[in-house]
Amino acid sequence: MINSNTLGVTSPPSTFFIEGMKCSKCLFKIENIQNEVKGIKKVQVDMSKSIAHVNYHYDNFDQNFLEQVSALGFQAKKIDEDKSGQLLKNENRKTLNRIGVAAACMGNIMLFSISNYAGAEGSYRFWFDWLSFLLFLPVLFYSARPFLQQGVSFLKTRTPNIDIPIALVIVLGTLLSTYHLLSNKGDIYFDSLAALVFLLLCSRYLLTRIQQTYLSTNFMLPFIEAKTVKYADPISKKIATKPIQQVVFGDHILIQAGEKFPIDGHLISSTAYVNMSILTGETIPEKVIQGQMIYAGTENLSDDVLVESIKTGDHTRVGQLIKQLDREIHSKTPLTSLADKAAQWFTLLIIGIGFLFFALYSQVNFDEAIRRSLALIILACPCALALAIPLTQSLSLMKAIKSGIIIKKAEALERITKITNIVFDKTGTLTNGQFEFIKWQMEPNKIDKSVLLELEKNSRHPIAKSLVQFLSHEQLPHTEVLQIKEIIGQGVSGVFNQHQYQVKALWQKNSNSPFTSIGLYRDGQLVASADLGDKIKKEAAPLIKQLQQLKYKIFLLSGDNQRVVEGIGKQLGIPAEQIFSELSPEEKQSFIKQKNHCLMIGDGANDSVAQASSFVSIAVQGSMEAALKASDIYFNKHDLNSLLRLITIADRSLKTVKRNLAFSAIYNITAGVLALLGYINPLVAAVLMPLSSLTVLTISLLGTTYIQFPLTNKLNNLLQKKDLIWKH
Amino acid sequence: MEALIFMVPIALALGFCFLGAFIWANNSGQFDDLVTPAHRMLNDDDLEKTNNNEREVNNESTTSI
Repeated sequence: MINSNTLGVTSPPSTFFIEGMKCSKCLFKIENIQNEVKGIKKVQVDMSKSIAHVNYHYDNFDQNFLEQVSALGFQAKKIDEDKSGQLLKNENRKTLNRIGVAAACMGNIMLFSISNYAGAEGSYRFWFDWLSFLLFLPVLFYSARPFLQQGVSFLKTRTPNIDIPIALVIVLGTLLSTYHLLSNKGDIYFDSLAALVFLLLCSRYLLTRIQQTYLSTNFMLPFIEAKTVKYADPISKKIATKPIQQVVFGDHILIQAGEKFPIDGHLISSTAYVNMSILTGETIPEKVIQGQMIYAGTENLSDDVLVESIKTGDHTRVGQLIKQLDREIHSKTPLTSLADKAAQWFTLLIIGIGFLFFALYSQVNFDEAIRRSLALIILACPCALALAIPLTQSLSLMKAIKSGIIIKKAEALERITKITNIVFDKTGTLTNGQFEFIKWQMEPNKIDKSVLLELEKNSRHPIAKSLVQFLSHEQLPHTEVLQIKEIIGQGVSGVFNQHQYQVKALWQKNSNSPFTSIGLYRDGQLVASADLGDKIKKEAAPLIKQLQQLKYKIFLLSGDNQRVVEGIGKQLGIPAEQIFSELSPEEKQSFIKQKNHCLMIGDGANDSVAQASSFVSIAVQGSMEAALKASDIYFNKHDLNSLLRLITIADRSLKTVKRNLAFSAIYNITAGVLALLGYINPLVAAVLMPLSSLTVLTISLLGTTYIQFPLTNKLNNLLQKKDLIWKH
Repeated sequence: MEALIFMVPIALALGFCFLGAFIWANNSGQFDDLVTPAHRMLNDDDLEKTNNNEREVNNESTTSI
């Protein structure tokens, strides 16, 4: 490969996060951009992180790249691959070098120690022992350094961690083996020590690599998208741009249609429709009048509007929410996972027993005391625990990722098995989170439909927009409607064919419908009415039924109004006493705090405070970055069925861990007792130890590889696929 | 058994040559991304470009049958 910098001055490479990249075909399409767009020199995709590195010839062609990517049907966002990414990369390479050195040395040591075990004598034995020693030195000083460093930091700070017994065994084993080597009697354990270091490094590397690959970049996307804002210059009255950080109190800021407000402020334009769902969870857009407050993070659904800046950054309402979130995350006491606890408790016990036995028995027979207690420590090394449980977890994480579930903390997987209550948010979780046409209550003829379309076409109201979107798919005759007038709060009226038409909202008393209805009147007579609202996701109802069969208690919490929430709850079969509406984020939080073992599935920043307080929290796709920050688990696919898969995986993972624990308990107790009685010498211990590790590893592999998901789930998927086929 | 005097150093030297090769490969970034190259291998667009003429000939021959 030719070095890109030898061809003169090039603009620095850019990194993009690319959404929607799934298969090899997508990869080729994206990398092929380098042949199609001028100015782009090389596109290199990293599929495991969903990012693309782009090199340019001379000038920066970010815009061209972005355009081409979106033309291909993907979404790209430029990200700053900061120094931490580079550091991680270097760290990974270093660990891999450590593993390589340990593996090479271990293999060669084994060659010599096998000859010695087989009975090499005299000068051969002498040289083989010394060669083992020399080969062990790189393992000790290079490969095992992370463990020894943990040991040193324990001596300094006195905070315990699971690496301490490992460090202790390495140090003790080395000292003893070296002593035996010099005094030319007794056993030498360089082979088992090297194997120990190698296996431990491998399992750690596997775990960290999986965590880094799937967790880092997806969360790098900034929270409020706009990095620069357009503002009206107070002197020249011209529109100019400046970075968001430089916005000060009183600036007049222009926000275009579809953009998110970057600041809290007063509206200067006469009206604006705002999607407030980030703060309220309510899908129906709110109308804001001149002088009223507009909050950062909400979305402008009307045309371009001007806003007078009042608060920016951390001081905005959303900023405060995020700050509170950070505190929540830090105040959460991290549950030390089952593996850590067991390994710590276990190793302290073993070391304690070893020393106690040595102290007592050394008065009887000093050499034998050393041999037996060392055999115990080698045999009962925590490697079975420290190796197999992280492996089970990482394999389960992998399995989850393949089903579109990203788990931020491995302990969340463990906590899922303890869940008894499941709390759903409504907007964007059980529903699609968008205003859509639902159904006609009274379907009009084609001409009336066309009139309706003409009337609503120019309206800026989001309900009108969703109706227009639906109607524009139908083939309708063209009608010319005259005298179209929009009266705020009244609806739209116009004249066609000498009839007076009017569209307005229908208010039905005592209606349980979760939808908003609008009606079309011809000369004061109702000729059409339609339901509009937020559609429930297809898989939601079967999912909730299955969860209820699995004996979970389902709750529905929402900030939306009672009528809408209860209507949806009813459709999904959630009992009325488990439905709570019109809750503020703080109320949601206090509700969840009262419940033990609560799983919260939500979306949007208004849930994130509540999510941070819950036992396990899940964010579904399309949710705010803030929600991802607070939640433990993220559903990458637009599919609530992931929840069932997640529960299955968590269950299997816990079972495998338990099986491992049971095996290692039996093994350690029997072998430990035998070692103390003198039936197992350190040599046999060094053979048994890797064998036990191998057994435990096999248990983990078998336990996590063949996870079957519930059959009903598969049927569901099939049905959905059929639906998709019909649609296309 | 004297053969060991040669065998052991040769075995060690060979072993460490491969270790050196591994470290070189690792430091030059060959193991940074293990997912994408597996997919990239399946792309035969570049084949099409170089073998375009041959392919056309092949297509003609199949259509004539």
